[in-house]
Amino acid sequence: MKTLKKYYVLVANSNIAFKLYEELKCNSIKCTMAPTPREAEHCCGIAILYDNPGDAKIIKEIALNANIVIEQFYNMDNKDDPYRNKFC
Amino acid sequence: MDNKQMWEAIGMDVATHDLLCEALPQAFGDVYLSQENRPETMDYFNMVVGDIHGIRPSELIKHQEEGGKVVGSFCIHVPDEAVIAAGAIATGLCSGSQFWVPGGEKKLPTATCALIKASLGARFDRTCPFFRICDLFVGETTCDGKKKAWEILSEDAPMHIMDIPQLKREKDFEKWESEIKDYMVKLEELTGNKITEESLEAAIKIVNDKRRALQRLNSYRKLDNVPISGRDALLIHQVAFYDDPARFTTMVNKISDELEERKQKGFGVADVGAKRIMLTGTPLSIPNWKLHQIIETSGAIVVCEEMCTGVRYSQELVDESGKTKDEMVKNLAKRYLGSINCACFTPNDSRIDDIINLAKEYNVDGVIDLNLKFCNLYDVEGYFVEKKLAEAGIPCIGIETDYTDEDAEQLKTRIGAFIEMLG
Repeated sequence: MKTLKKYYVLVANSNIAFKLYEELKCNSIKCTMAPTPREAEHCCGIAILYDNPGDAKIIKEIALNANIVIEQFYNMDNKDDPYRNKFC
Repeated sequence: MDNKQMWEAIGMDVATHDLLCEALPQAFGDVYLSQENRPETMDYFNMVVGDIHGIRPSELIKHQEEGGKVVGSFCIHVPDEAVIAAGAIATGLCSGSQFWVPGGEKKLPTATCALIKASLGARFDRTCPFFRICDLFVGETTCDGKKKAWEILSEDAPMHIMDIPQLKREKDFEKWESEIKDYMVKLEELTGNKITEESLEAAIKIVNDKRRALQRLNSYRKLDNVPISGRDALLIHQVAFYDDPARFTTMVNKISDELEERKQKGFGVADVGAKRIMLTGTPLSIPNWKLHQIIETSGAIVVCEEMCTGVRYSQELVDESGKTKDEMVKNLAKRYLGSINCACFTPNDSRIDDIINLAKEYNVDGVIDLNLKFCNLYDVEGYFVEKKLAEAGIPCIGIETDYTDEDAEQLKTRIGAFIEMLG
């Protein structure tokens, strides 16, 4: 079901994003990797997109324990629309 | 070095390229993140595509800094094995977005297919890192548009042309063998590495493993409960052209492991009764997701693509029994000329046979024969595709489109009506 919001974790580069993603998966955090939304005005092309906003605190802890620097948590309205028919 | 610094360092027009970067997250969200029940192992492909102009280009540049070479090609008739055997990296080149088309139209007639225009636009406008990085571009003579476009591209980029026969007689196989040998000499000159029996044998194995992985993936799309959407399968086939082949094979096998679990549970991603569609025709280069998105948001699921960005890419392995370099080249020629049924060949009955056989194998309800506007080869061959499918009692509709969004609503109406007609 489409969620109303999207919750991103932004890091410095794609290597760090992948490392954090693997750590989060090991800790059973529901997440995926996705292009960084333009609205976030962040230089890294990849961000972690996590499902549950309540996981932000534990994500911080996991990152801290793995020596991963999180640059920003970024939330935005979910604008995904499969019927938009605008491609790139 | 972050992406912007890297793009500046390779001479890209970063400001213009930024417009493409702006469009990708929303398009990816609409087509991919909006889907439910995607395999978890697709996460890797989200990453590759989400930063397609960052992650892989930085690996290619690193390879070059260590003295290696990168070779870009436009067509699945060009054997990657030769590149790998010479110690270089083979990569596909961007050609699937409307973003690059106006750039191509500065050099080419408007009445040229979008794929060719996008390729030239990406190079001349300096808005694709792969087009900046490659040390050599390999063109082929699969159509008149490409053949002449390479002449224009060669004003700006180092090119090697492979002259592909248009028939498949014994002498044509001999000719293609000699083209592959010439290509190998060119690669040896470029890299300074000799292609040996050992390196070629290893390269054949690497690329065959990739084909085996894709064949396995596609086999799950034959199930009644299809465990992966056509959009995801398309994305995987598109990434196949760019990713490191061994890593790609591992990741595709991981997806297949997950699909096997879904199979055991009888889990499918489409609604019960969703119509099964096969696409045939011109290739869908990344990020061309238009047709799949329209079909799969119209109550159907794409289960097979008889396309270069589909089963054509992985069908038939290169015979691995060759002992000498000559035997291996012969086997490469056999596979790369004999097993790919592009519309550039005449006669091309084997492609029609492929379409009918695949339609049965994948138990499709209907076929969409896709033609990229101004591709005369596939357009003309559509006559036989539609005729033979009608004789076989398989519903078919011909669709002509390009990379723009403008016809999306019309396509949705036509495709929606076709799906409804399937009952």
